[in-house]
Amino acid sequence: MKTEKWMEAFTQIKNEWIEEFVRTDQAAEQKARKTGRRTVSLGRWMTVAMNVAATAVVVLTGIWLFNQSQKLPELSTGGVGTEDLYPICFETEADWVDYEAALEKIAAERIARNAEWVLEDYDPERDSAAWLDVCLSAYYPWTRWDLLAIEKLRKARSGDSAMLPRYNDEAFKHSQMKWSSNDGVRRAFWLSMYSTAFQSQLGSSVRIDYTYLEPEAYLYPDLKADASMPLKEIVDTLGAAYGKKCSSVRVSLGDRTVDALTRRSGDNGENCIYYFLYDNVLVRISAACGNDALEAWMAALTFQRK
Amino acid sequence: MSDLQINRTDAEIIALYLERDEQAIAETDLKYGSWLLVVAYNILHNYSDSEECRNDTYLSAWNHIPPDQPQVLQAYLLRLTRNHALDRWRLLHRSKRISPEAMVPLYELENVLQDHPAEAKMDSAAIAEGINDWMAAATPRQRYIFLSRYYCMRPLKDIAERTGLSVPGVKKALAKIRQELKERLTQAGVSL
Repeated sequence: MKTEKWMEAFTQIKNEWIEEFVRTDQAAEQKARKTGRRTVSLGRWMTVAMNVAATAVVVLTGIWLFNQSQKLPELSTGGVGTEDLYPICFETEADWVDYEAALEKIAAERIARNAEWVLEDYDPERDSAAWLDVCLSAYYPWTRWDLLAIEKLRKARSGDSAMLPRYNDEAFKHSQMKWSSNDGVRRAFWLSMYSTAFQSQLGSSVRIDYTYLEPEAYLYPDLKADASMPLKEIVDTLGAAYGKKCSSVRVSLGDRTVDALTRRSGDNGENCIYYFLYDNVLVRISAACGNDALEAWMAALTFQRK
Repeated sequence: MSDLQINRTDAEIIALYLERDEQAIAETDLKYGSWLLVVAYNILHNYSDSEECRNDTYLSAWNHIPPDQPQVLQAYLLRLTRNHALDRWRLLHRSKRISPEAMVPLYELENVLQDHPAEAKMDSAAIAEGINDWMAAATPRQRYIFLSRYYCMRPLKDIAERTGLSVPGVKKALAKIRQELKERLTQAGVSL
């Protein structure tokens, strides 16, 4: 209550004080930079020491994880607490097949449903580019995670034990990273992993209930807010060509090609939001590099619009 | 897109906005991008969200200049970034996904406003008026420390580096500021 009052009050501070503040801040920052040089040497040594320590921790952890992966996983017979989710495994070949098939099926259905939904509903005379952005943003993560899970399972089945979909594996960690800005993704991924763990620990065949994943869950609040962005014009056609680096990212809009102005990237550079300018309209596009499904979808959209 | 110029003045950047030249955003990012990121980060304590706030700031600036013609671009961008960061903070706070470090500076102000009787003024406008009055009477250094901590939510160490004070020195200055502010707000009958 008090915090909220203070926050509101501070937004009403007179402009002259804010302007004075930024002027002082510029000068203070320059001064701090100059005086800070004396401590650079110590800072550098500390950084080096920390890096060495961090590297040692990573190497030791890697060795430990490798050793762990060589052991046969022991299934818990107790409750399904967090500690029980590690390690996750499947008991039979049929479990793998079932799980993979389930993921592929849901991914295919999702692709078809979303593409159909967007193409049917999108009206350039009526809908803003922001709306299109919401559709794109809402659509991509689910497919991305499905495809990632499928890929990991394929590798796991091919004998790469390090790729077993563990509770604390890379993909899950990544989904945790997305937690702060993307509730839906984490929840979906978590549910699917949790469900998998639950099923495998009970020793039953894998069956995942995707009824959790209703379309409403896609539209998390911050994207809903984007739908009301005051964009004045509509982007006629969208097509995308993704590069691995930001500098190479560009989008073809009609007969023009524009470079991305800036982006917000995911921690591994795969989930990105790009900002483009087209006829004085700032367009925000969410994309997943290497996501064939998304690219195919966007290509279809471009084709449809032409 | 032409090459970015690191030495562009604010007036030149604003002119780009007014001409609807898309270079304006790139120039803004070049000149103030990292500073704005830190502004958002000090409120949210999350890199991804802060980056998004910065991008939202560019979008707002693009959409509002014109008609807006800011006198001091950095101050204008600061307000925008702060507002976006606070909106996001509220969103995350509601869903209990906010870092516990966020908004710690404002908790220091808890005792400045006392729980008080019904006749006391409770609205944020009255508090703002009290703050503005106190600012007018304060020294520039006090204003800088105050806004650094409670407007920009900066860590004490950052403020110490910028002001040349020690961290205990900053704490002492803030304690004095809070006391003065409390007296002024109490005199004006402002409380919660």
